[in-house]
Amino acid sequence: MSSVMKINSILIRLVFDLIVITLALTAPWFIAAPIAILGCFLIRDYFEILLVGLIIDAVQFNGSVGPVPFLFFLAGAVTFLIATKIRASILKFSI
Amino acid sequence: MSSKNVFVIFVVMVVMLAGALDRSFVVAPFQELAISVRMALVGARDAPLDWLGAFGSKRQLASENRLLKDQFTTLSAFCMLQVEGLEADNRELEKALARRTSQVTDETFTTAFVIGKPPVSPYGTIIIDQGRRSEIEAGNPVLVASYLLGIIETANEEYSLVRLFGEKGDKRIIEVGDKRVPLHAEGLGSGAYLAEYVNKDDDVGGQTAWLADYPLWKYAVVLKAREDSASKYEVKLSSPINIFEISTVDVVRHEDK
Repeated sequence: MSSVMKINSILIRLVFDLIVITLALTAPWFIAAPIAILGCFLIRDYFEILLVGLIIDAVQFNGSVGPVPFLFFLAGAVTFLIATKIRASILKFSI
Repeated sequence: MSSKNVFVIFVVMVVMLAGALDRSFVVAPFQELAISVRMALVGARDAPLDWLGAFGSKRQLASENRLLKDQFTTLSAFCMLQVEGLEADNRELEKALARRTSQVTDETFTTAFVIGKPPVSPYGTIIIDQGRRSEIEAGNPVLVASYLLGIIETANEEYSLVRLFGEKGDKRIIEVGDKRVPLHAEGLGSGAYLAEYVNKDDDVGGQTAWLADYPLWKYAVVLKAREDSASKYEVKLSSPINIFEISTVDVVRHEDK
């Protein structure tokens, strides 16, 4: 990967992060969560999904969904693990 | 297991542990951040509308200003007409009450209630409910309709004492009849005077009499004339006003002698 492409990919990742985090802070969870899951498959090592899950938990569910604490955060971690595995075996492109 | 997965699992464990110990420690910063972002978004959305609103309200304000100016002009003209109408009405009423005549044109009147009569007030006086606050001063003539009643003797702040004419022993020059024949008269009490008339041949009964000091207002009517044994021709002049029947008087504030 050339340096220009690397800068572009960082910029795209930053813009994507900004959009997803803003949506997580302001939009309902069912808008932000699918985009974050999509990001897991499109972007390499998308650790930000943990942050997005935590934000959704904190802002929209005050920390726990029913009896389950940090449900979206845990789901984000699981999604990260699964998506990483799928990406490694199926998807050959990355941002 | 790759290092990335280990990192994720580690982060999850740390967050879960922190959340278990103190959930607000994890949650509160994100909630505050969400509030800030929402406020920023709302501000960014409303700012252009605010600007447009301000522009619109200024135009509206200008049109309202023009409208109010028009209304003010109309109302001013209306009020001027009303005031002129009221002044004309006032003049007519003053004429009807015989306050104002062809000779009495520049005086200003103040109407006052009588709040004290003899024996409550000193003999030969009445008390009225207007005083210096109404620009009444000692010496102002006091009228009932077109007839003179007395003068202000003492003007206090909110009430005044009126000295009545025609009290016993009061000596004045009185003008009788249309010719205004001056006579030396002496008070008999209760507003009456006794005078000696000059010409026995004149029948002055029923004629009007004026006090020489206050020639603008009538004072009395000549009640009777009598000729006694000493060949004196005396006339009795009595004020038609009974002070026990009056409830209001008019005070002339600026007498134009």
